[in-house]
Amino acid sequence: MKYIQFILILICLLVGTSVFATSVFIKKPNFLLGSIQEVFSPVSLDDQRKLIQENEDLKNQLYAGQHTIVISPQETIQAKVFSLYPFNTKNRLFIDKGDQNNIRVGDVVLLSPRVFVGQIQNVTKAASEVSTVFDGGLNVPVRMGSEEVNGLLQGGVTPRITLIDKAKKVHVGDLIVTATKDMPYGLTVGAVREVHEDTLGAFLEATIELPYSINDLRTVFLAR
Amino acid sequence: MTPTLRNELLRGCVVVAMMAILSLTAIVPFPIKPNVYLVALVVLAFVIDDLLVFLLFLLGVLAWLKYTPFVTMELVALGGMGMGIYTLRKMLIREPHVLLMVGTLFVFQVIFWALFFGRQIFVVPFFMEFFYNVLILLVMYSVWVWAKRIFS
Repeated sequence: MKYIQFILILICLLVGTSVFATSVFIKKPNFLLGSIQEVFSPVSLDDQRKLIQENEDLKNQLYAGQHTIVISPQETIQAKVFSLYPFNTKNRLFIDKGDQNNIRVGDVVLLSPRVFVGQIQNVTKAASEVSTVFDGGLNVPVRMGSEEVNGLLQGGVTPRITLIDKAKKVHVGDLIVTATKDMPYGLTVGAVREVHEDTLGAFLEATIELPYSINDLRTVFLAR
Repeated sequence: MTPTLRNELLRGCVVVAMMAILSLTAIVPFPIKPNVYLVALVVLAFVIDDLLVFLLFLLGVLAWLKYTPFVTMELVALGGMGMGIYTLRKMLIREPHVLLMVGTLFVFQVIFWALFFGRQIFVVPFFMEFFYNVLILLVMYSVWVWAKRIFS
């Protein structure tokens, strides 16, 4: 009799474990599994969320690789950036190429064949002035993430993406690319750092993680 | 110390020593490592009668397993499982029985996998590990039976 009790207890343990901690027999509520795994599993839910986020980032990178433009070196002009040291001006850059190099207002300034830095604002004979994303006057339509959500890049001390439809999903880490007709489509502006509602609560806003530090720029490329 | 207690200690030492040796040995060519600690706890829980002696060996097994400077969840789980098996066996079983040991090992291996390897339990590596575990259990139990003859 005792042996049978022992075997029954073992069977109960086996069934209980299978039901509550695995999805082999019964698809149980996620919160139960989550709470059990949160307590016991070496891979916590935080780690799982990080893995999911990492997966999303990789998807973004894959998307970026497929959809962002790469301008060939033949199509660009290389320019050196003038130093404004010791001033910490970020909204403007001055480069050593100008009218004599066929630079025109509106030309796009790139860090690499795909990373957007700014747009030519003024041109002199041997130099040009570049409006960067830190310039309050810069407004560029952009798209974000693999769902290509529309937004407007507004330059400023803290550049941000505004007028994002609240019904659309924008995730932290989503790639931001240019989508204006005035420049090549798909130049990388940066990645979404944080998403929140705007002051009126009508739209979403996103802050930007730039892939460069503006003060570290020494050489840029110009494309038309 | 009574002779019975001394003999029980000596027989348990043989099992734990075997566990220690096996845990340091690459005994199988496949990349599946048997859970010798769980096997040792199952055998010890079935063959040791005295609670204090069992606790002593339980701590010994956990101390051998502890390779990090902090207490891991595996240690806590194995300790809990060891106590659970011992309590169940003590309440319901008088003499060690190999088939019951194998059944207990299977159930607690399922629990261990459920706790630490997530949802997919009944996969090939699980059954390979169980196969190796059973082999080790049989060897450990045979050694204990041999030790019982020597230390009695």
